[in-house]
Amino acid sequence: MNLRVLEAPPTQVHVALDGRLDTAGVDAIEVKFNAAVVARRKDAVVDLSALEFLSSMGVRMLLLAAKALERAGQRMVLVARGPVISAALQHSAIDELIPVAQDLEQARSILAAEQP
Amino acid sequence: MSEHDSSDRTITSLPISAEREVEWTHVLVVAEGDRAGERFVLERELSIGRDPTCDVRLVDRSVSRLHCRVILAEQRALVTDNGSTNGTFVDGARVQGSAALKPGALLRIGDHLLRHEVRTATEAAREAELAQDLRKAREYVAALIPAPLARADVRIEWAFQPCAALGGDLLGYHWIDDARLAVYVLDVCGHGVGPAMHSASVFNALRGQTLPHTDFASPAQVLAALNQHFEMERHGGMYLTAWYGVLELRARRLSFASAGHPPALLLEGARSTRLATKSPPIGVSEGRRFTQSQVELGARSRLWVLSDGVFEFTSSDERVFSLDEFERELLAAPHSSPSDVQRALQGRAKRGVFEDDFSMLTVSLEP
Repeated sequence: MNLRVLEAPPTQVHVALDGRLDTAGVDAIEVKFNAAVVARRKDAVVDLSALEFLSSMGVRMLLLAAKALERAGQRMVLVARGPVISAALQHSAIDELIPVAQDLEQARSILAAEQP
Repeated sequence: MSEHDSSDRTITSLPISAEREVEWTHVLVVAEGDRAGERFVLERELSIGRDPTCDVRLVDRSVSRLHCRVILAEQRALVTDNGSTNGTFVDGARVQGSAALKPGALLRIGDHLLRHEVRTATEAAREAELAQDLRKAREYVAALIPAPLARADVRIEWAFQPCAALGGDLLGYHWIDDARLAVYVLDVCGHGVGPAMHSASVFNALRGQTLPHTDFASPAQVLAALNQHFEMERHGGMYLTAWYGVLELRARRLSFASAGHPPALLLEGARSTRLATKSPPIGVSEGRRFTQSQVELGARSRLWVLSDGVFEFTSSDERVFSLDEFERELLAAPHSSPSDVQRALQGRAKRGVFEDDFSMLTVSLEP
């Protein structure tokens, strides 16, 4: 399980995850993920396009981070393509709580549109 | 100053001498089976089997009376099969005679899985204490689940196996009146005693029908009430997924609602229908309205309600098993009991281990 912090505008963070976000994957990256996404206090784009699998523990990690950002007045947008991850987001209905974009451009449009 | 120097020398030499003198404790930890969570210290030898005289007694029909023994010699553990009927397996390979049991190795004996751990005495004592807490929580959770139901018109069976770390699953049913039956599966996200106890609180509120101003025959109302009472910010950040259905036996109708939970499967002949309503998990979205749906039930309908641990596991060929595959398994053997399905899936799982709680409840309607 890998996490990469990518270049982003000054008001945003952009991270990409790849591998299996299951219990072992969450154990491996949760601290790093929270440091990169939650602690920065910026809007976040989390790219799940290269994920192979998203379990309920992975959903939990994303959801708790989104709630923490929300409490701080920030937002998270997920980028997801492909049937496996899209199905996992749909089953858990997390897509009703965290916006899901098809690509980075759409994710940034969502954040721009929701700008207070 | 010289004292300080002396102290420094002592500190730098401690880890080396401590490493040389440390006493390792070898422990067999039951990772799966009736005695999951129990720990057995291996001092010289442990006999394992069904016989009451065994050091590790496993009440399991697939275990022989004197199944095998584990011996510790010069800090190395060795397992010897005593000619058991169903075999002893180390990391999935059948033991022919004797085999080394390395630290971390998994020992499969019938439906039981034991892990070989090597710890310092202090670690072993601390872990024994934690294991005791987990065992008590596991026993409490298992005791909450009602007995299977067998009537002329309806039958309820279930399979429930908490994972080694104890997840937050619970399943159950209760009568609303003499013709309506509520069935449900809950899954509090996370592992350990906290999620298990949170799950027990939610379960007790359902079973005791104690949520105020709630019609327990209305799945949408029940989920909305749970969402209001178990809001995650007031419960240590814990939230849960749930599937709740109400069967009207005379009308042969099922109303249901789900929240962030895998769909239930309704099997009728060769057809499977996924039953879910799309709502986020319980406790994450304040003031949320929930929707419910309804289906008519055929002559020999069978409903399967499950948690994600039933299909979210790594198979022996390193793939992640899926709901689609699970559904195909059911359709291939539609009359299997939940225990049969559990055993079949365990055979598919890597090292025979489920990574999360395994919870599955079936409701069979007779014509």
